[in-house]
Order: sequence, then structure tokens, then C-alpha cells
Amino acid sequence: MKTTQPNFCNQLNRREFIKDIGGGFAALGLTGMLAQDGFFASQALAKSAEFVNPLAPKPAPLPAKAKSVIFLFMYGGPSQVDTFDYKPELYPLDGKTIKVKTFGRGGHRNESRVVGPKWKFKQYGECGKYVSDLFPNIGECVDDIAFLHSMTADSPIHGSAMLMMNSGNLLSGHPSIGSWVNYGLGSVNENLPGFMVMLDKMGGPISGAKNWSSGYMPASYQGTVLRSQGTPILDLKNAKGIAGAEQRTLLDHLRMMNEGHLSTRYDNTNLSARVASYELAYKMQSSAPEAVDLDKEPSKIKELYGIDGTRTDDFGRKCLLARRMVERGVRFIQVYSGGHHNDANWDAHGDLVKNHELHAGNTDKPIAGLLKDLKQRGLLDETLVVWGGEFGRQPTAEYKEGTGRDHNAYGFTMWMAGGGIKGGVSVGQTDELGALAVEDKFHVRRLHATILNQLGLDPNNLSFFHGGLDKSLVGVEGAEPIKQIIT
Amino acid sequence: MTGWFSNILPGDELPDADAASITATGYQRLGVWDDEPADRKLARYDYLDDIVRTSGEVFLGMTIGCARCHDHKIDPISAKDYYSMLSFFANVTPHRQAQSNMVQVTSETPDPQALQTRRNWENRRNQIQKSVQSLKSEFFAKLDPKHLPKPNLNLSDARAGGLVWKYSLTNPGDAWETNGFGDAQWQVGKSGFGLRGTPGSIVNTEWKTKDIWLRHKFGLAELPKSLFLSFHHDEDITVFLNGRQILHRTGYSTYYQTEDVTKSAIPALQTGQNVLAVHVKQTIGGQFFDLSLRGFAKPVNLDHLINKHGKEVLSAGRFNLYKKDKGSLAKHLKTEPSASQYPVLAVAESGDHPIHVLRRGNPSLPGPLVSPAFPSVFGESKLVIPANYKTGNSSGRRRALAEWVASPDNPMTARVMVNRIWQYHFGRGIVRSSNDFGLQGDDPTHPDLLNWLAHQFVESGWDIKAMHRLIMSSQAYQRSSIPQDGALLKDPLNDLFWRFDMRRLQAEEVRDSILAVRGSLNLEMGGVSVTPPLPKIILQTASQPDKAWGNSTPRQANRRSVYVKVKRSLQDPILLSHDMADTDTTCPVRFTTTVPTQALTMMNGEFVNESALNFAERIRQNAGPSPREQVEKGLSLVFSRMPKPEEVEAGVRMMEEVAKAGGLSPKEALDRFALLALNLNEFIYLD
Repeated sequence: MKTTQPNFCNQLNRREFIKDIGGGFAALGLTGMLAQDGFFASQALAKSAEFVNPLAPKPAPLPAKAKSVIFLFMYGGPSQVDTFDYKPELYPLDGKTIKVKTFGRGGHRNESRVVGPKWKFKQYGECGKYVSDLFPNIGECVDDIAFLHSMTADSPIHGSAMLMMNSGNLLSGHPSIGSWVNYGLGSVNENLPGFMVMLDKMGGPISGAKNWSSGYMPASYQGTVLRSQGTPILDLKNAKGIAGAEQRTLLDHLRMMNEGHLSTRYDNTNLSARVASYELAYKMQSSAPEAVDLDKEPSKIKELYGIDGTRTDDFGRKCLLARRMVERGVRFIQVYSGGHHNDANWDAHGDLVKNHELHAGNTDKPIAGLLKDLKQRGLLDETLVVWGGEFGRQPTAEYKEGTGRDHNAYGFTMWMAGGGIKGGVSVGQTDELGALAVEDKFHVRRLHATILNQLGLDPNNLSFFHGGLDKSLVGVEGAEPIKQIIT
Repeated sequence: MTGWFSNILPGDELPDADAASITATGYQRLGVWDDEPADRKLARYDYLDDIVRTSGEVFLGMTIGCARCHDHKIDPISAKDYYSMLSFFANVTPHRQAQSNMVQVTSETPDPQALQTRRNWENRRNQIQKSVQSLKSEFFAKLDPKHLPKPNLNLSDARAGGLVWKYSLTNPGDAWETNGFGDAQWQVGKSGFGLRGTPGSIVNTEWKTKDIWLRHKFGLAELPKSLFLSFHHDEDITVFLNGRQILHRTGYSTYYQTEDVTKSAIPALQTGQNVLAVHVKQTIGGQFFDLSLRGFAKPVNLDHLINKHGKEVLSAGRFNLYKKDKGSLAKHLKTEPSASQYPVLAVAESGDHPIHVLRRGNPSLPGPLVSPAFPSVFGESKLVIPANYKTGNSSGRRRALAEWVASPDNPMTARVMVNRIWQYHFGRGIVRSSNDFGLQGDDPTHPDLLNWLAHQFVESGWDIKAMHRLIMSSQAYQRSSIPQDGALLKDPLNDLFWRFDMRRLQAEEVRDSILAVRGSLNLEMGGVSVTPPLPKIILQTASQPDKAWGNSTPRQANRRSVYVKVKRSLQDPILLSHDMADTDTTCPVRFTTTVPTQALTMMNGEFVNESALNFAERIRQNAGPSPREQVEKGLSLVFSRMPKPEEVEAGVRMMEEVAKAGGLSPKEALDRFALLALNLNEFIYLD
């Protein structure tokens, strides 16, 4: 007997059909409800069809704590022992060569010279969380944050580790987590893409668009690059020299001529969908600029995010934009701190102090501003904020001189806040050096499972049929959400 | 063996292998691969998996890849079958960052005289280059450091005391040149290395074997802006920096040559730990190796420095010689005859690598040993690869595989291929799941037709053109797409092909059609991929935006989309938004999604708007000033038919109203009409 699995790339007849009706198709991955012949037959004969955006909102299959996710991606890999993973025993070891197993871009090592943490730690909040002097502002928010100190990843090399953090796989070709969310939930606001990415002004991360690609899913689920300055979205502005009234007239005539074409092809809903998509695009053109217009924000808010012409201005704008996107129903927003190569991101191989002062200094106030602003608006409860890089850093030096640290995927820190996550807690532990996760190890897949879970998606059931297999973000072996931090 | 794919798998192993057949094997290099894998063994199997998985689906319509970790859950394909298939490719050399993915080929019609001309030209070039190079090196060695900025990297050679290297006299194996390689067991010695008494040498560590591999680690807090490598070698030397090859020289030198390696080596440098790795190979004795690397925090232009200080440093006579040689080199380079040899992306084999069934797909859990064999569902028979299939380093395995795949007796290949050809014409295959003819796939809607077409295909000698002709001359192909209520009710999915299903142009067809309509499609075939302009917002997504893409001439940029360079991380919005295939896995059937961002690209995008202006110009030139004739001309081009009077009327009205709305001149009104025409559904959807 034939199995009737949801199948996109192969486009089994019924899938083909759902696709033809313009897009309710994504819902199929979530529920088999539509897969009844009667439904399709009746749609087939509809003389005209409403445009159904593939990104139309879909109800979450499970109770959702969060409606949106803001993933603050610290590209390059921040050092845990210099930020949130307090290791008092590491300071006195500074300069001593000790036995410790490490694996980074410089390969496997059994002993290296310790670089003591370069910043002091201080206790913050009611929970008394130790945070380094790199993050005095985020320190004030610790009672809303759950720290994951025992993250592990499969690779300590940027390219594959980025793909792992974004798509759950070491090789490209798999949908990124934002695409999974787009596929699972759609976008509440049809005038904006459901998955947006803001990059560092220095450039994208390694592998560029592969980090927000939809892989084997349709391209409509991929991330859309949003800019905080200039035209916010590709091709959002009218072409040069075309005024608004002109564009409207042009669109009206386009619709009329397309409707003439449609009249003898009345059953083809792809054609009517395409007609409707131009209207939707027009609406995007008129509403998106408002969504990204920060001028309307009161100066107090701008100040909160560090939008003041100083070094925090750029990341502050991005964080504020992220909040505005959340308010407008965008599901998944990724904001990159760091891009390009070497010290243009958190990849502190050379001078640790210079590197981390730069990137932490650029982002500390904006991130704290975002958390505080979300909270004061009552949005933090339904917005999941995730902070972290593709891996962490070693407690030891990379080379003979200097303070630079190599990559570390054996143990690193990430944190989450809001969206049904407990505040003021820290789970998992690394060893006394901060080199290796030893207690409650959380693989990247557990983080992914937690994010999906908070959005009301079952990480082990959200799947997409491709290449003969039901594929999921968390892989064939599955992964459970991190229960310890869920309210 | 005939067929379109007869070269793709074994092109390098065929008795009549040539540039075209070797180039075809590049297919096996196009899968995704990790250039810095955390787990090399796994990465190797991932690479082989990509070839087996893709070939299985593409040629055989079988999801063989599903049997990597366990027997296929649905189809009769065992893990043993999977690894037996994988072993056909087991000896293909691994992907490397260095040059080894490229194979040198000789053009298909080598003319002996042209070959000789080229050789003479190269000899002369090398001769002058050598002279220029030696004078430059001499200058650099003698130049007073006060004319140079302060160095921020200084790895010295034996002339300044030498450098401590790790070295190995036995072959260290794969990946020895990469940063992460463990060299703790290697010996330690100070440069130079070689046989004492070799002319011009300063030997601190004796080396008298054939090969030496060396590694030196150094730290950097800040990257230099310019970099100079001085080296002395006897004989062939290859230098890697962080796994990337930055220099290769054959033969031997008698003095320290200096090269400006700023362009080739600085992109490989990184802050933190760097590894310089060197292999020197000796054949006739008198070995020597030494090098130094100097980096400066500011750019250094050696040519300018020589012009300024050359006379005093080199003496007037030698400075004049330098200038003369430099002039003749420039002149000589302009006379370059076409190369008959060029590098192509292709596969080669090396060694004999046993393959085991891997339990749960884990490279650390090897099970029983397997040998090349076809999936057992096709019948148990022992494969014997004829001895004469072995050529050079190649096992001949891929030739044996290709012969089986392309055999008229293979029950899958011809059916899978005719089904694809059918799909390209009709929008769907007779088997809709064109990569999966297995139990999870769809049944053929017309099994007898599929069998008959496959038979015709084999009979014709796998002639694709003949198959196009056959299909396109069928009644089914010629049917109208117009709906009929009765038929829609009985067969809404058009399983029976009672009509032709309308289809949207595929991404590449959209772009090519726009270029064709505007009259600038360049139909030139073959050659290097082209890089049409990309919007800035796309380029900025690259980690190095200024180096991410090329800059083709407008004529080259207007070539068909199959010649547009595919860079996985950077894609043209016009193609991507129209659901081009994902570049990482085989895509049997394109998606056809409709989203507002497509409309944005088609209305506001740079490419479409530039095209609209070109298109309008073409209309003006062909139709003259009358708006009616302009619309008629424009619509006839986008529709490929004469427009109806009411369509022309609608177009004329559009021009009038848009002119009114925007206060436009007639010229501008036509420009807008051209943009509208490129956005019409009838242009993008085929009836």
C-alpha cells in the first residue's frame, strides 16, 4: 500500500494540488485535516480564489507561550568565562600551563596556558547572578534571564558551527530555524515577512545567506534581510523615477489586463494568486516604511536602546527595530552582532580584551534596553529573546603570546529571556575551568527544541518530507525542550 | 556506452577521455562539502554520500541515500547495497582547499603547431620573469630597512639566524597542512634544512631524504597589510598558509627569491595562531630548504621602491637591466596565444580505500567489508571489473558503474530519464515523484506510455532531441490548457492529460525570457560562469562583500541563466524569488510559490527596471512613435502572438493614464508600459 506522506519536493498529486490553490499547503505539515479529497475537489472547481499567502498565520498546534523570537546572534563565539560563566578559580591560574583537553581551529590539545578572565564579575539582581563587567546593563536584567551554561555543539569551526546553530546541521541545505517557524506558524502580519534578519554593518557571517536559507523548503520561508538604514527590504522602494500615483495606475492596469487573461482560465488559482500578490506587495510598500521608521520613537526610548550617535547606536537601532517587528507580528527576528572576518566579530583569537570590549560595548546597552522595553510594554511575556554565538571560547590561550582564545564547542553559555522562560535561573555547569560542560549538557538541538516548544510547535513532530524522509529541525533522533527553564 | 551521462561518472576513466569527458566529472565535485571539517572521517563520508544519494535519485529514481544508517524502511535497499554503491567512488580524492580539485586538461582539438607556439611563448615568459624576479629579490635583500615600514611579522631565514620548525621525513598523511593538525610527534629543527655543501646554502638541520614536511606556528594580534616571502628551494616546494596553498615552485633555486605574496597570502592569514606548512620534494640530491616571511602594517609597493631606490641599491647597470626586462615582459604578456591546456573542476582517484558497512552510519563503527556492487534488488551477480578498465591511478570502478547505469537492460535509467523529459514539457512527470520511483513515490499515471517511451529512447540510442520531438508531436502536448467544466469535475488533477496544464516559467526561464524580450539575450555557449550585477543589499550579506562576486561586462551579464555563476551563499533575487532549485540537494521538481516579495522584485527590482527601459527602446525602434503600434509591438513580443484589439486598447489607455498620473512624456509612458508588459501573467505563465 502507498503511504501518503506530506511531500513537497516530489509533489505528490495532492500536494501539487494544495500548492495550486495558492498556499494553504504549508498547513499540511501540521495537520492532516486538509488532506481530504472532498476539500480539494471543491477547491478545484471554485471559479475564483482568494489569494492565500503561504505565509498566512497558522494556529500553533500546542499551547504557545511565545508569539515571536528575537535571536541575538553573537557571531564569532563570545567567551563564556569572560561574560556570564563565573570561574573564580581561573584567575589565579593566569599564565600557568595546565592539562586541559581542548578542541578548536588549532586542533586538539591536551595542555595549554591559561588566560585568566580579563574582567571582574559582580552580582546582580535578586538572584545574585554573577555577570562580568562587560555587561553592566544586561546585569540589571538577570532576574528575567535563564542562563544555559552547559551548551555543546558538534563543531568548533565557524562555518559548520554557524549552520548547526541556525539549521541543526553541519552542512548547508537544511532550513534554518526561522524558516521552520515561518513554515509552522506563518506571519501574523501579511505586510511583513515572517522571518527577518539584520546583519552587522561589517558584513554577513561566514556562508552568508545559507544561515537564513529555507534549504529544501520553498524559498518563501527563507529569512528576509532587513536593513536599519537605507531601503529596509530589497526592492521595497519604487524604482527610480516612478512616483506613487504612477505606480498605482500601473498596478491598476496590470490587474485589469491580468483579469482579462484570467477570464478564460478561470480555474487557475495561481493566476489569481499572482494578481493578488501585487496588491499585497503594494500594501507592504506602504506599511513597511512605517514599521521601520524609528523617528517616531520618543527620545526616552531611543536613549534606552543607546541610539545616541555613539558606538551603541547601530545595534540599538537593530534592537529597536526588532521590537517594532515583534509588535507587528513578525515571528522570528535574528540580529547579528559581528560579521566579516577576524576581529570584526566576537572571534577573539588575538587580543581578547580589545575584541570583547568592542563587541560587548556595542551591544550591552541595546540588549538591556530591548529587554527592559519589552518588559515595560508587557511584550516580554510573549517574546522569547535568545542570546549567544555558534560556540564559546577556551579558557586557555591560542598561541604563545597574547590573550586570544580559540573556539570551544565542548561547553559554552547562551541565555534566554521572556516567552515563558523562567527568570533569574542558571542551569547546567562547566568544569571549574569553564572548558567543558559537565552537568546537564545541552546540545544545540535542545535549544532548538526549546524555542519551537515555546512557540507552540512540537519539535519532534514538526516535519517536512524531503528526499524520502520526514525531516525535522531536531533530527531523526529528536530532542526535548529544556524543561528546567520553562515556567 | 552511449547516453548523455556517459561522461558524468567515468569521464576520466574512459579510453578516449578528453577535455569534455573529464570536465563532465565535475558533477562529482559539486556537492556541498565542509572545507574545515571538525570530523574529517565523517566529512569524507558526507562527501561520498552526496554523490551516491544524488546519483541514486537522479539516474535510478531510487532513494538509496536512505540506507546510509540502516536498511531502507520502505524500499528493498539494504545498508550493504548503499555501501557497495559508495565503494564505486571510494578512491576519488578528497576535496581540499588547495588546488587538488582541479585537473589540467588539453583542449579538444590540439593543433601541434599551436601547442608549440604556446610552449615557446611560455618559455620566453618564464625566462624574462625569472630575470625580473631575481633582480627584485636582490633589491629586496639589499634594500636598507629604513625605506620599509616597521615589520609586524618577521619569521627569519638562516641568513638572520634561522627559524625553529617542526618537521617530518615520513609522509604525515591527509590534512597535514591544516591549522588543526597535530604535529606534537614531529621532530624539531632550525632552518635551513638540507645537505651541507649544497651551493648557496646555510644548513642548520641536516636533511638528506627525498621529502620533508615542515610546519611552523606563529601568532598574530594584528594582520599585516603587505607580505613578502623569501625562499630558497632544492627542489620542488609547496607552501601552505593555514591550509591554503600560497606558493608552488618546481626545480631548484640558487639564491633567495622574494615574492610579494600580499594578494595570495593575506586572505589566508588570521589573528591568533597561524600555521605555515611546507613540503619540499627532492629527486636528484643536493637538497635545501629555507624561507622567511615578512609582514608590514602598511602597504609596501615593491615596484615603486625599485623605481625610487633601484639605481643606488642595484647599481645603474643592473637597474637598467631590470627596467628593460620589465618592459619586455609587459610587451610579451600582450602576445599571449590561447592556452591549449587549462584546469577544470574534475575528479581523480588515488589509492585503494576499503569500504565497510558503517553501523548506524557512524564512521567509527565499521561492519562487514564490501566491494563495488549494484543494489541486490537488480539480481545477485558478482561484479568483475575488467582489468583493462584500470587506467593510471584510476580503478575503473566508475566506468563499470556507468556502463551498468547506461545499459539498455537497466530497468530504471531510461524510464527515469524519459519521465524527466516529459516533466520538463508538461510540468509534471508520468511519475510525479520524478526522483523516487519507489514505494513512497507516485504510481505512473500512464505506465504503458512510460514503458513505451523508455523503449523508444533506448532504441534511438538515448537521443534526447528525438525524445523531445516525439513528445512534442503528441496530441497530449498540443492540447489547449483551456478549462472544461465537465472534465474538471471528473479529473480535477488532470491525471489523464485531458488538457495541457498551465505552468509558470521556471526561475531561469523568467530571467532569460526578459532578456530575450528586451532583445539582449546573449546566446553564446560554454566558458567561464558569468556574474551579472547583484543589488547591493544582497552583496552586503556576504562575509566579505567586496570580494564576494565578480563584475561581468554587460554583454556577458546578459547570457542565459545556466551560465550565471552559482554561489551557494549569494543568489540573484530574480532567480531565487522564482523558486530556483536549492543548490545543496537534488531538486526533482521546482516549487511554484507566489509571495508578495516576488512582485516587489518584478516591479521595483533593478534588473527588471533596466530591462523595461531596454525593452521600451526596442519597441520604439521597431514600432515608431504611434502608441497603438508601440503597444501592439510590445505585447506581441511578450505574448509571442499578435495581441487582440481590446488588449491593444487596454495598453494604449494604460499609457495615457499613467502619463496623466505622473505627468510623463510619451517616452516615459512607454517605459512604464514596458515594465507593465514584463509583469503580465501571460508572460510568466505558459498556456
